[in-house]
Amino acid sequence: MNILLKQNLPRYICQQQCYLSTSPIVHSWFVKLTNVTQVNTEAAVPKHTRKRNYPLTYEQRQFPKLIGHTKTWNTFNTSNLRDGKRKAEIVSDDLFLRQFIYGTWHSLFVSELIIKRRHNMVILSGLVTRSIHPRRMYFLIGYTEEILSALLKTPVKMEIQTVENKEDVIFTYW
Amino acid sequence: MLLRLFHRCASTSTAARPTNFTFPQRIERSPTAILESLNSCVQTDGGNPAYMFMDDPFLIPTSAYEKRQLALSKASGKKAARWIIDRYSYAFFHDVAVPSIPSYFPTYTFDEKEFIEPDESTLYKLMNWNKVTKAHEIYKKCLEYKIDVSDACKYALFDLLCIYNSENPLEALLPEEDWYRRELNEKNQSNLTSRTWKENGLAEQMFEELKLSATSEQKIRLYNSFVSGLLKYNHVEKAMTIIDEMKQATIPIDLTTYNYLIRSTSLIKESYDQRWQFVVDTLKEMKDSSIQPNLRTFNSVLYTLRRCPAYEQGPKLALAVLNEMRQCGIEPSLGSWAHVIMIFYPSDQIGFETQMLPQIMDELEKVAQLEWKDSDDGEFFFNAMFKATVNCRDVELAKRIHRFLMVGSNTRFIPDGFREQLYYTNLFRLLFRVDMPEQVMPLWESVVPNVYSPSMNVMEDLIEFISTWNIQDYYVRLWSDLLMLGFIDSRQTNRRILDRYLSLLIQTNHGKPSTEQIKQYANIARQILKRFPLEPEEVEQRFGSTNDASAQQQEMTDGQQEQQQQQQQQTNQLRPKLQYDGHLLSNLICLLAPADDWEASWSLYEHYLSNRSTLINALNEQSLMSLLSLANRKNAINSALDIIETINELQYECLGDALDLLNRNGNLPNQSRQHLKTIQKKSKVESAHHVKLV
Repeated sequence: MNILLKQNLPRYICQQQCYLSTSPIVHSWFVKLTNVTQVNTEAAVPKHTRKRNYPLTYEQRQFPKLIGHTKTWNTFNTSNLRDGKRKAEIVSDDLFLRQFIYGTWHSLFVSELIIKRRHNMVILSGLVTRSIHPRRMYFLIGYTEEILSALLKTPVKMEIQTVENKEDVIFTYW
Repeated sequence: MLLRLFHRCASTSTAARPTNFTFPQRIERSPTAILESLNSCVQTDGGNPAYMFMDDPFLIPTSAYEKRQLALSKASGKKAARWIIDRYSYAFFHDVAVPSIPSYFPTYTFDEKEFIEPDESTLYKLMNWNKVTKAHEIYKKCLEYKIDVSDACKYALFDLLCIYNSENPLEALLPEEDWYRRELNEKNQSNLTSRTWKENGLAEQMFEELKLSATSEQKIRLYNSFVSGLLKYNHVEKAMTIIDEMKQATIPIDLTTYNYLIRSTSLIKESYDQRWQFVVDTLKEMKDSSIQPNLRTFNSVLYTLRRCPAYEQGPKLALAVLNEMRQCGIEPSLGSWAHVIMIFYPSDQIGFETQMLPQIMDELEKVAQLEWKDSDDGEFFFNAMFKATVNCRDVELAKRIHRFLMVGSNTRFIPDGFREQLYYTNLFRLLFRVDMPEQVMPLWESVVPNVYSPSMNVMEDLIEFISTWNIQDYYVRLWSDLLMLGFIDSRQTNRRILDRYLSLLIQTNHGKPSTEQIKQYANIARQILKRFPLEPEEVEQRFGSTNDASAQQQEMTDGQQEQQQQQQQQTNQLRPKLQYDGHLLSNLICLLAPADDWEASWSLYEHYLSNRSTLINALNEQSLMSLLSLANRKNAINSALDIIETINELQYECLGDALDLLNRNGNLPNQSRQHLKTIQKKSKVESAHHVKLV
């Protein structure tokens, strides 16, 4: 991240504005990159495209620096509180769940998967397009719930909401 | 100042306070007490779908067919997952739950290695996992290899064989499927009294074998289990012979056997008096052997009485049984009341004078929390509503039963979908016949469509009800309800509802509908046309009747033309095909014409003219007159003349009015007037000649 450093010099010396890069790649000890494209990229912050037609959902438009300000997390659990248990297992379970849902529900989820943990239950939420018949959707729901419960050994519930098509969640073009 | 302090202390001490203070005792609560109390605040709510469905408008089922479909697809998904879990079981053994949850593990399969050395522990394992037939095989192997099997194990195996009729017990259905178990499990639908006991099955073989080596105590257990099994699966003759054996050998009969015996009395004896005598004798025997009857005994007695329909002594005896129950200190369960209802109201005509049902309801409302005590309990609500609506025809009583159902979690006493459907069907059929809209409609809305999806009969009754009470505001809403509940499709069975509904909209005996409503009705007609497009004739399709099609054909090459026609044919096949008849067309014209929709009405009229040979009925007078008045308003003189000619052909009486109507039109050119006069001359209808034409 490029920040503006205002040097505390007396006013008669012109205030120099210094741009310091905070990208971890640049400051790492063993990987010294000077490549422009690699140095100036930032996670989850897309650069403007020439034609300005790269679609972003509202969530994607809130860049990661706003997490905790106007953006919340996609998983909710108590593992990071004091005496919270199973931090690592929960994180790895989350990664697995996201990949599983991405692979099982073929191009159906149009939002990130929201994972909520309550007691020992895992509740998965998200927005789904209405491109398949409700019969198939219920088949997927029953299948997902059963197989994830068997894998994680905890009750897994799905609470999904449907959206007409993918265009409905596009917030802006970047 | 000290005096003031003293006074203050004195005043507080003399205030009314208990002199000694006792600490309240800790109330021991179960680990789920909070959950239970929260549960008691939650009632059945008609605003949300059932728990197994997702709470999203696209995924909420409204008609009965959809509910079944979606519930069963969810169950199917679970079964698919189960198949994968069993197939790739190596992936599912990592366990983080303490204690382990067995249902999240792959189903335990016994591999052959375990059976090489038959052992008693294998037997126990197999029995625990419900593999009774396999257990019997292993037992046989044990006998062959002369391995010692303890008596406890043998008798446990024998008991299981009797209980499950020498078969493995049925696997429990998933909850989604269980709701529809009546349709899925055909065994339930067959006669409940048919004999299903397996002759010379594993149970009998084991019985013969064990009889030889049993001690007297073991004999008691042996004979009792065997007789109970025989009676459970309705093999009555053999059961009676074994009982005679037992009596000769003075083996005491225990409570379970007596219960089954009383329950099967209607299979043992023929006439009602004999049956009652048999029951009384059995109960006397029980008393002599000082066996205390339990709830099941009394329910079996009532069940036997119920199986004697229209027995004059029935009601009296039933009341006597209830008294006995109370004397023994057993509270009658819902099952007992269910049987009592069937005894007091044996068929559709008898029994509306007794006040039994209200009395039962009084009793039940005193009970704080209903519990499931006996397997007959599931029949209560269904029986009660059935009798209240069919026999008593008492609206207050029916509503009372329904209110009782809605209290707490009493809805779990309607165990499957079939019974619930019938319960609500009975309730609403009565209400629609007898009650007023202000009271029925709120109840209807609270229950439909999430809790109850009505069947066609109920919908017809609803339309009757609405037309009798002339709830005009509801007409348009009824259309969207019909769509939602799945009654508007091309099936022949639903045609009646469509016709009935449209005639409801058209009827003019309750005053003219407002312009707003006319527009809405026209919208409905257009929706019908959109959903079920008029089938163009084969001839028209080939030569392109409309101008657009011909223009398109000129542009495209022949190959593309064929493709397009093929595609059109395919889409036409996929789209629902509603059989249009003249009646339906007339109704649609009657709806569209008052709303000044010239194109739609005229296209319907033309469709009628071109397909006159294939359509069943002709257009009726009302529709032709409304179409004519529309043509008049639009000054489409030629079309108007065309309509009059059709009226003439069909020889309707309204020809006179039609001529008159057109006659009054000031803009009529002379040619048309001449035409009118010729029609009048040629027509065979009487009234036409009375009209004065200018």
